[in-house]
Amino acid sequence: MDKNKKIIELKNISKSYDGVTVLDNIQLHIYDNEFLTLLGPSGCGKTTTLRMIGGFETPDTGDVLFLGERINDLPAHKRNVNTVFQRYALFPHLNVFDNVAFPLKEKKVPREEIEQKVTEMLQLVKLSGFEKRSVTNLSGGQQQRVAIARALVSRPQVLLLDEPLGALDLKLRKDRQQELKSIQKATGITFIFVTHDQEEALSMSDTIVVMSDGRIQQIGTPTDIYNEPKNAFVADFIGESNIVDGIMREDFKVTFSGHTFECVDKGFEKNEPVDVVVRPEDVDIVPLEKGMLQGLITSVTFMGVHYEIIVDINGFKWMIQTTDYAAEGEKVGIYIEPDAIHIMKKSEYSGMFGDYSSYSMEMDELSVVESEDEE
Amino acid sequence: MKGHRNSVTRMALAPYSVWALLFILVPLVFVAYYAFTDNNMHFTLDNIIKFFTAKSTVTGDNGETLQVRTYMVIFWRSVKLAVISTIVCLLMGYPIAYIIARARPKVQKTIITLIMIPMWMNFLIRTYAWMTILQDTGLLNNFLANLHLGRMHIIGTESAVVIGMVYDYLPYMILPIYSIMAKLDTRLLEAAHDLGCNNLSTLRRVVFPLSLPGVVSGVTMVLIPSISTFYISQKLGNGKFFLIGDAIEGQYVANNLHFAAAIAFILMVILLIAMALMKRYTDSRVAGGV
Amino acid sequence: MKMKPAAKVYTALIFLFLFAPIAILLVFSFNETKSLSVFSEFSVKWYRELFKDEETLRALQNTLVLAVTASIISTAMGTAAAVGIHRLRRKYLRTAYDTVTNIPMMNPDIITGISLMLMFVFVGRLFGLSTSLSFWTMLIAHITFCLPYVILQVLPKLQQMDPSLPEAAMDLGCTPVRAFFRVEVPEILPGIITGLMMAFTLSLDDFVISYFTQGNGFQTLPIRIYNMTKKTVTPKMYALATIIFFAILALLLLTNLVDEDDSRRMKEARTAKRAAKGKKPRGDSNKRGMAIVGAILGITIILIAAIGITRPKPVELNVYNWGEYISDGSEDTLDTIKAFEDWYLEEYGYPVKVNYETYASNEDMYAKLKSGAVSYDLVIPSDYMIARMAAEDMLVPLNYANIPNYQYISESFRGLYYDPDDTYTVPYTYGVVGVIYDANQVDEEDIGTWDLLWNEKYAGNILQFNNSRDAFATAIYRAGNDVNSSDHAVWDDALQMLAEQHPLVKSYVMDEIYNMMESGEAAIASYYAGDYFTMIDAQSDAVDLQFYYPEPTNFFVDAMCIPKGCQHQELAEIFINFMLSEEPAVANAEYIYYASPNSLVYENEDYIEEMGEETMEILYRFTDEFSDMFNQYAYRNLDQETLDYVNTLWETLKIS
Repeated sequence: MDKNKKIIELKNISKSYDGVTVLDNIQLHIYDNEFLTLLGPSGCGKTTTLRMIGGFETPDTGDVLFLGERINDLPAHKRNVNTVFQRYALFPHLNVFDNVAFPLKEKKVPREEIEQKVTEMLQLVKLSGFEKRSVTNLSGGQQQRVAIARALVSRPQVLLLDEPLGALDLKLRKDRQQELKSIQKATGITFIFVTHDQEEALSMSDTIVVMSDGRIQQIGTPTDIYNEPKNAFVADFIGESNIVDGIMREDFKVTFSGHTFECVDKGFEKNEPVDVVVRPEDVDIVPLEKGMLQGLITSVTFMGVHYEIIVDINGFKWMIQTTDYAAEGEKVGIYIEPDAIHIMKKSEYSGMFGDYSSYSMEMDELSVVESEDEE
Repeated sequence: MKGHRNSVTRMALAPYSVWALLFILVPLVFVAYYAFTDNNMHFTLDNIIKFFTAKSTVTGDNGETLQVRTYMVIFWRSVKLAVISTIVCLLMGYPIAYIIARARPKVQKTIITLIMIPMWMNFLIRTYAWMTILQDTGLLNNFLANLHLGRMHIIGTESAVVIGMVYDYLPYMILPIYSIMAKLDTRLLEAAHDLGCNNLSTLRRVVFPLSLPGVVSGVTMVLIPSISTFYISQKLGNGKFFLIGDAIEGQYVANNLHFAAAIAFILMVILLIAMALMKRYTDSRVAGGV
Repeated sequence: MKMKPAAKVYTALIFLFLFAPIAILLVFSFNETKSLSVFSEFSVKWYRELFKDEETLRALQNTLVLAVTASIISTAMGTAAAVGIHRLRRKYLRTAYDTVTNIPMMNPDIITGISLMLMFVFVGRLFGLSTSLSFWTMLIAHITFCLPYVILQVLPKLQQMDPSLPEAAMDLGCTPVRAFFRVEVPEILPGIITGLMMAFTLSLDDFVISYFTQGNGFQTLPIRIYNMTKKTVTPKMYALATIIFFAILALLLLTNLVDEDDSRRMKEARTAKRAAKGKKPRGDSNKRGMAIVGAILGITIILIAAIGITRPKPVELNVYNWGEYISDGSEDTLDTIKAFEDWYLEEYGYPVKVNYETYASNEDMYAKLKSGAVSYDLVIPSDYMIARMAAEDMLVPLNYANIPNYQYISESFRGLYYDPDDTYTVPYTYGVVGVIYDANQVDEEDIGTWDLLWNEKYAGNILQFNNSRDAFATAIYRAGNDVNSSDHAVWDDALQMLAEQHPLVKSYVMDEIYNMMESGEAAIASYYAGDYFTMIDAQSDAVDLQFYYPEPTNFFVDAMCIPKGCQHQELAEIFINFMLSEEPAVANAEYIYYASPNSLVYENEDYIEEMGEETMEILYRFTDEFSDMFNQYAYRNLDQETLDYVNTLWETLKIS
């Protein structure tokens, strides 16, 4: 990543359809050679942002800059930006070779050069030998490779990927994540990647942009985003979080659940109400008397590597991930290290997330299925 | 379970199977039967031979007399006019189909219904009205004369027959192309733009190849009726252009059923071969299919 | 997406092209005269006439009944077939069905029509039926050519459907048939509706296939219009076209309103629930299709109810006549058919129903009768055709006792060559072929003979008959030869003359002559004397039509006769007698403008006054010497060999 070269800038971008705001004052820099992910639930505006960079949407207000030049009205085919579409949009009337050669033929590249470049590209995506196959007979993974090869063959400066892994099964998705990452490294092209899958975002990106309701909630590296979420939405969307109301007594001191903890955050008003985030893996279960807080275990689920334990503390249900077994119905103590506590300012999302009282595995799965069907 | 499904299939197919046998296949056998028999229903090749060999003496352009094969001349003239009409229909119909398919859904519906309206009004009468427009003292010429653009002699020329055919069959070209285009995945167009195509090259490299099935059925639906029409040529050709349809009708009216059947039979065979060739060609073009 | 200006202009041009002829029809349906080229004065009389014209309304009703029945049956059968084909697993079977389904689409309709006609006639003969064509054969033909369109609409919808849907339904307890109706039908409904609409449209507009397969007692609108080809197409048809146009338009506006409502409600729903971006509920287009289909069915039923005569009709008389060849009640004339039915009911106390159908030429009529496809009780052919039919034993001797009015037929029209012993015929009209010219374009010194039609001075302004017999006759009369010669040399000679004339000829015409002469589009034509007067009535201000008889020329008689295979001979004779009685005979003579052999007509004072002196002089100039002239110059039946030869020569002329 080259922090000195902003390849794309979005300035004050807003967009609405039929009076419904889809993008609300978006500000974003994308650096050369960066792997940037737009992450958010369906309808958050991430795909619209991507399409705006691709040239398929124009902003109502604001500017799209490419290497410092305004490109709002530049049509898609004149932008040095290519897209891997959600369901790939491969041309059904062309075979694999002709699909990949498509942009080169458009540029009237000599035939030998086309052959050479396409062959190279197909090697890169591991599809050598598939040249003459019809794209309609390929598997989902193979189609995705063709789409990537087609988008990369003319060496764009930026590659846009609109949920390219959404249609693949879990196992295949993991493989492809690695492969995409290595293709990005090998080619040195800026990737802008859209997904609703936070794990995918965390494992692949240099930078993650979390979006919700048409606004950017947070921009940062995967570790930043995970460890220092800006608000309850980000905290909840990225990984599992227990989010409770707290009061900042003074720097490095916070009170929640009836107990005052030491923490590592500072810079708040005295007695300012805040949101407190504690990741489930950072909570330790200890004997009752040693605990900072006391609670009753209401459910225990074996997850393979760890147990997922729900503990009721003063009516608020915490999720705890631990390798130590505890039995349902047992009363236990809770211990939290100071650096496991993350303090956030109150926001519009406060109180909407972070309580596991209605938690169930099925709900989570359902929401994944729903979001695959978006936009 | 499987047996159950099969019996349902058979039940659903039975009426059509019987119908197709009795009223599609058997009648074709009758055409062949009449084509190869004489008035006493004895086998003969005379009708077929007559079609290919009957000669007429006509006066050429420079007053010289020529021997021509009557039905060959008629047949090629029909083919020529039909092909021209089909090309004109395609050139006129393709852009409009494209425009409609890109319009708002509501506008699409309205335009499509408007295109279909003329089909609900008797085509004989509509063709008749064209005479009023095209004749030498007709509306078009009055209009041109008022603009001091001079007059055009159209009625009674091949152009008039082509105009009539294009008019009557244009909707048959537009509708199938439109229905394919309307289904076209817009992301494919975006992909083409994304990969460097401007509007024109998107049309040429993506839209057109993908709309080929629509073009093929449009071409079929225009070519077939215009090759065999016998009303348009009588009315707009001023009776000067005898087409293969006129020949069949003429022989029917003259009560030469066997020769009429022979012409029909030959026309049918030629068309079926032509269609089979076209299908093979386009099948290979749109391999993988849409 | 918004349309670009260029696209808008292009769309507008296409619509101008598509709707120009319809606009013409609309305008001229309000014309006072019959002309489709000269607009004289605004009038709504053709609309009044249309609603009085039972035959046309019945033809409309027939067309709708046929289209509705054919489209419903073909949709039901086609949908079932599509489901069956879709489930076929064996590849060769699929291919076979696909091929068969494609045949009616790949075959020109003229071949479909002829093939079905040949089969029906053959089967009819096999069973010795008097008529092999009927409503049923037409229905079969229409269903046959509609079927593939339905199948090809439904099949793709089935292929798009998730195959597990019906399985899910069966899993949830549906029988296969129930599953089909509850799950598959709603899924493929858009295809079914489109198929139904297409079938209806195709059937409504079909002319060619109907032309070959139509039978007794059931004539559709396109056939009726086609058969007006000898006389002019009546503006009633333009009025009808206009009404149909506005009916469809109203229907569409109505469904659009329904749509508007829907989409407003949808929009509200969308703002409330913004997730539904751009997605339309599917029922939308279905509802519109259903509305249109429902409205058409409704209108048809109303029309059938409105036109369908409620009286019982135990006796039916099938009459087959030239198009526009009887006083039909338009423009306040006598409705002859209705008058007969009323008179008969009063006289005999039980009702009779006359099925009046039309043909475009002697040869058309002969071909239909000869093929055994139809049977009629009364036909009105011309002289030479009567001779041919008599020679081929196709006519029944009349019982003149049932036709007392025969006494009024002038002696000049008895014992003519085609019926020397007065066995088979009662003359209906007669006439002489003359030359019509526009005095504003033609010099007085050029007229008088057939040479005018070959005068190079008027190149491009001359009209010639578009039927072989009449066209050749003009040349043969000009050469002074025998029009009934079987000597090929005579015909070759005539062809030579016609070929010389070909570059001078503007157009080969039948009914088109009216528009062309009335508007001044052409200056010279030869046609039947009576028709000249019809043209004068509608000629434009710049045109001054005049008329003369060249010598020699054609004399013709059209006579009523009863073909073999008739069902009600006595009734037909009563009808003939009625046609000879004073009121209908005068009405017909005034309507057709041809001369009448009936003394009740040509001695009738009102008639003489109505026609005027000049008209009477031209029409009746040859009354006294008629039989001599007729026997000398009329067409005779040519032997088949000569007919075929003439036909070949005619085709030769048409390809030069």
